[in-house]
Order: sequence, then C-alpha cells, then structure tokens
Amino acid sequence: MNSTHRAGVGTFALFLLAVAIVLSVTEVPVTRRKPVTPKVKCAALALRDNVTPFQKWGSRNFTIDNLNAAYDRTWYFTQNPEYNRKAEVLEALNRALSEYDAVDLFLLAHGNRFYEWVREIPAERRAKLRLVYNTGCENLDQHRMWLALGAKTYVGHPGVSMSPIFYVYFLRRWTSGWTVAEATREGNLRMRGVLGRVQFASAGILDADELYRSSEAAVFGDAGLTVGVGR
Amino acid sequence: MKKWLVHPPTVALAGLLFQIFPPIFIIFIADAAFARGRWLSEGAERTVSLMFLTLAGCVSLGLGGFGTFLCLSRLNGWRAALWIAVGSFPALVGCVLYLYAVLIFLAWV
Repeated sequence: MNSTHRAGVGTFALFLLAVAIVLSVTEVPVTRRKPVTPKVKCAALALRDNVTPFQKWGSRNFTIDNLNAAYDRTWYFTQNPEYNRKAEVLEALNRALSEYDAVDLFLLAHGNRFYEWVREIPAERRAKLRLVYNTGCENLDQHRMWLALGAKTYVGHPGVSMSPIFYVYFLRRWTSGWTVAEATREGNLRMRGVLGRVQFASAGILDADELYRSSEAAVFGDAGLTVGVGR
Repeated sequence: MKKWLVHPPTVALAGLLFQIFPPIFIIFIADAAFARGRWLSEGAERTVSLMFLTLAGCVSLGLGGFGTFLCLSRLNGWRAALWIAVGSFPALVGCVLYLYAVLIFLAWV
C-alpha cells in the first residue's frame, strides 16, 4: 500500500469516526415497524406556539415529514406574532375529526391551555381524539382535562422541562410504530443521556438529575397505543 | 496536480472556516420565514433549508475529505494530525451533521 492509498484509507476511517460521533451524540436511525393490524385512517395536527424564528424553523422541519410518514393527513400550524391562528386550527381539527378515524394532537408549545380551544368542538366529534402529546412545561396535570375531552392517551411533562429533546426521540419512535409507552420510555432514556452530556459540558453547572426530574414524560390512558391502530 | 497549487493547511482551514456559514444561513432562513415582517413562505423555507443543508454537507465533505487526504499524504507526523484536528475533521463532522439532519427531516432514517 503506497502513501496515496494509506491517505485514502485514513480519510475514510476519519469519515466513519465522524459518523460514529454524530450518531452517538444525536440520534440513531430508527427502523419503521409495519402495523400488525389493519391500519386505520388517521390524521395528525401539530401546533407550534410563538417562539423564536429558529425554534419555529427546527420544529417545523423536524415534524412535518415525520408526521407525513405515519399519517394519512397532517396539518402543521405555527403561531404568528401578528395574529392568533385559533380559527384555522379549530377548522382543521374539526375537518380531521370528521374525515378520519383517529386524530392525534402534537402541542409544541410552552405551558398552554389548548384544551380550552378543543372544548369548543362538539363532544361526539372529540371522541375521535386519540393521542395528545404536550411539550408544555408543568402541563402533566392536563391529562385529566384531555382524557375527559375524549383523548385516549395523554403524554406530558411535569415541570419546567427539556421537552424539545424528548420530543425528537419520542416522535421518531411513535411514528415508526412503537407503542406510546415504548416511545416514551426510550424518549426519557435518551433525554437523560443528553442531559448527562449537558451536565458534563457545563462542568456540572447544570444538574442533569434535577432537569430530568422536571422533564420526565409520563403517559396517561392507553399506553399500548400505536400510530397504526385505531381507538 | 502540483504540490504548490494546493496547500494542505489552507484546505484544512477553509473546511473549518466554512462551518461558520451554515448556522448563519439557517438563522437567516428562519428569520426570513418566521420573524415579524417575513418574506419567505413556509413551503419555500423548507425547500431552501433542505437544499442548503445538503449543499453545506457536500461542501463540508469536499473540504473535510480533501483536506484530510492532503494532510495525510503530504504532511508528516504531528503537522498532519494538527491540521486534521483543527480543520478537516470538524468539517467532516459538520458534513455528517448536515446530511444526517436532512435524512431525519425527510424521515428517511
């Protein structure tokens, strides 16, 4: 092997090392599971609140095709500083609930009270609500409201949370066919890993255990639900 | 290619310096699409973002890969290690990061 070949092999080895580093600190590829039961017609609606442009950019780009890969129809709304999109959201949700067998909601927002919006939809239509995932800080207690409104499953966070980290791991697994309990468990586990690295990088200034306690997601309702299965 | 035409540390440094541009451009796109007074539609933003991330990944791969190859083939010992560590390898990590982000955004992995 001459020096050119050695340099080529060395370059490729360093490229593989870069791949290994990125995959170990971000996320691993997730295999999509095929539904074991006939798939029902399901739709998803995601709502991003009014945050920084970069956060809106990240949420939208990450969410759209991950939802499209698993749902028959998806809607994605980003709240604007200029006007409230409540009317558009409720119109889309009404349409989803009337046209699809099951509808999942992804509330990508700081502490919120979106159940007050959904309350305006007639109860018989709300019965098709299935999963509600809420990134909102201190919104874990809302499981009572959402389950009472008709949702089958609610996932939320207890305190001032690092829910965006959890959401990345959770959504990719949920839309890949994992049960909501499996996706939540794995999301929590991987979020804990990230928080540990953050604590290390901050030289201990940030407390991973404390952050995790306030961020650990919990499931209420049917924990065995999967994206391809109806109510 | 004659050795004096391509200076390995220059390519390595170019790989490192290029890493400044993707975050700046992403923030620019995000502002264009989502800040007050936005002028880029959300649909166009996604196309531009994915194309830019792909381009950034390819440029980083070119600069990082070529820089690493040049350093390994033309520099010896600690000089090669130094320029790869500070320039070419960060560019390779950037390349993987941008292209992997595209794959995740497209839900292909």
